[in-house]
Amino acid sequence: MPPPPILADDVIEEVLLRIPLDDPASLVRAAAVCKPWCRVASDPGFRARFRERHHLAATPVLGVLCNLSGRAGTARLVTTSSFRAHLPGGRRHWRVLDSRHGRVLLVNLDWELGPVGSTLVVWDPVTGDRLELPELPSHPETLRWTSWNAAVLCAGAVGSGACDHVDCRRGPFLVALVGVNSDEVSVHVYSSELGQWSLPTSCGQEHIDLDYLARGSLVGNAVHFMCEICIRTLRYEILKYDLSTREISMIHLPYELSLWALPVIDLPLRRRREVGPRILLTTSADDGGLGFAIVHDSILYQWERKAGPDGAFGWAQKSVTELQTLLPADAMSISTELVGFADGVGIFFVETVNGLFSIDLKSGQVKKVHNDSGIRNVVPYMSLCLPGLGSVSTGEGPGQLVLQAHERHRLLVQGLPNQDLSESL
Amino acid sequence: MASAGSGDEKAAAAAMITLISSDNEKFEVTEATATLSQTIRHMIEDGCTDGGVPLPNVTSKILARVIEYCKKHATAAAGEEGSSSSFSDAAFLEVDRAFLEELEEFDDAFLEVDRATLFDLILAANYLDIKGLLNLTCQKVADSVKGKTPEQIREMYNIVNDLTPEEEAEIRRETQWAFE
Repeated sequence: MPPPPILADDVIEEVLLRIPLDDPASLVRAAAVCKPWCRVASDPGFRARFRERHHLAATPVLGVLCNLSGRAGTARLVTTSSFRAHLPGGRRHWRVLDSRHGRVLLVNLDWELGPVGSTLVVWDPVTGDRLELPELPSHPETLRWTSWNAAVLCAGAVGSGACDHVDCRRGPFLVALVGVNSDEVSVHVYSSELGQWSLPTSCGQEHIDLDYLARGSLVGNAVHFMCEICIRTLRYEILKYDLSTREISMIHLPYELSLWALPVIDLPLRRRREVGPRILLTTSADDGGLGFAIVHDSILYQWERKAGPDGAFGWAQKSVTELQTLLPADAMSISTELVGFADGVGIFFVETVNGLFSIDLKSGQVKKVHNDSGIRNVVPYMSLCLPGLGSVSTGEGPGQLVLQAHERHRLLVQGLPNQDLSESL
Repeated sequence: MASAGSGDEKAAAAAMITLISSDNEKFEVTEATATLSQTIRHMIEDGCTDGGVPLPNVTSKILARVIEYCKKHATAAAGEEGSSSSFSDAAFLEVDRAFLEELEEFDDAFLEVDRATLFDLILAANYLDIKGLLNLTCQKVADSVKGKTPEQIREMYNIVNDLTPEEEAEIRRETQWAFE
């Protein structure tokens, strides 16, 4: 067979653009065919056109990270594409706290023990790189925490907002960790650029408990965390932390939601608490505004925070969806629970007696993601996952990018130096 | 010379264009067939098709295939225009559906070529700027790499691996999961 003609870069691009969205593995392997194919696949312009061709307003969901019921057992990544990754191994029980901008925040702990002695890890499922975060500077204080939650985000998300988060997973990131005790809330922020935690920002706040199964939400410069219903005020609240002004504030949810909560006795702790349907924070695909979603009696309610005519913000019901009409008949039961939400693409995840389903309300598309039940909550893993090998693709040999990668690799292998941060306090 | 602005539509539709392949073979095609190529359409609009259109990048073997594609799809385009100008009628829709199915079958059969020819068709479609043909052929290649290793893709399309072992190792290190 005579050798086929050499394809020009623009023609190679025409081919690579047509690889399906849910098959990142084929795209990555195609980039390893030869220099021209690698150059085309790694080009930032290609990324933009690939998204345009697949009508992507946001990064696609490549899989869902599932936290399973029970104290033992490690979280699991169920892929919904050709993407494959294994959670970091070892004897640790990994739980997934959050995932955003291509990074995953893991913790190894018993939920009941809190963050004491547990390790927070930021993991890149594409490369498998993971970075263990140092211990909190105010470690003794954290012993008094009754609940906590954390969020990971690209460092470029705060401030000017120049990053489009399509391919920033190699860049600097932040982790916002919020902990509460009986009378105080404190927030610590880890910066990968500084390699250390900030001094905490604290404020007096009584009787709140963070719902660690509800993933935090990033709206503008602020991270938001869902609180469990307060047994004193019988209200649901959202804790808001503004990363640029370092202000902590609380947002009340509509009172009618409290009517769905029931008092229960927490046996191991012998304390009374209220339990209501899980409320998940959402961000609007249209304007990025804050919202929340709740499933009650197999009906999905969505609310959004809107400015009224006087400029004051309030809650407005956005939609009411009967899940019976969407889910297969054998999956329906009163125990249908909302377990996750994918920002940007607006996909909900519900746990049923018949497994885990994803529901895209916009298109009406319902897919079974996983057969097993017993999932406590899920965190969608969203990434465009295109090869990004600058030095290889420009054909200039081991350039700066490769060195950076090696440098980063070395850091990851060694772990960050065990700084004694108490010295700097 | 039949120009697009002649006003005599019948004459324009019947106007013939001569395409000349790289090995100097001449092909007579209708303007409707030729203008599926944006490149040729522009040449016609600019009035530079007298004495034939030389296509130094396309061999007669490939040009014959490209013309075969354009003839079929030019008829399809004409059919579409016809049906959209008349009122939508169940019978018309039925005819449309049958025609689209036939077109799909044609496309499938058209793609039954060896891989070197497929690459040549892509190059010709790109050079002549024939959107439908470019889409068809590129999609075929994109589908064919599904589930293949880089080595299999190179073998399939006779591509020389010019990546250094270090570069290849770097790609694999970053995305090991795709190679497992």
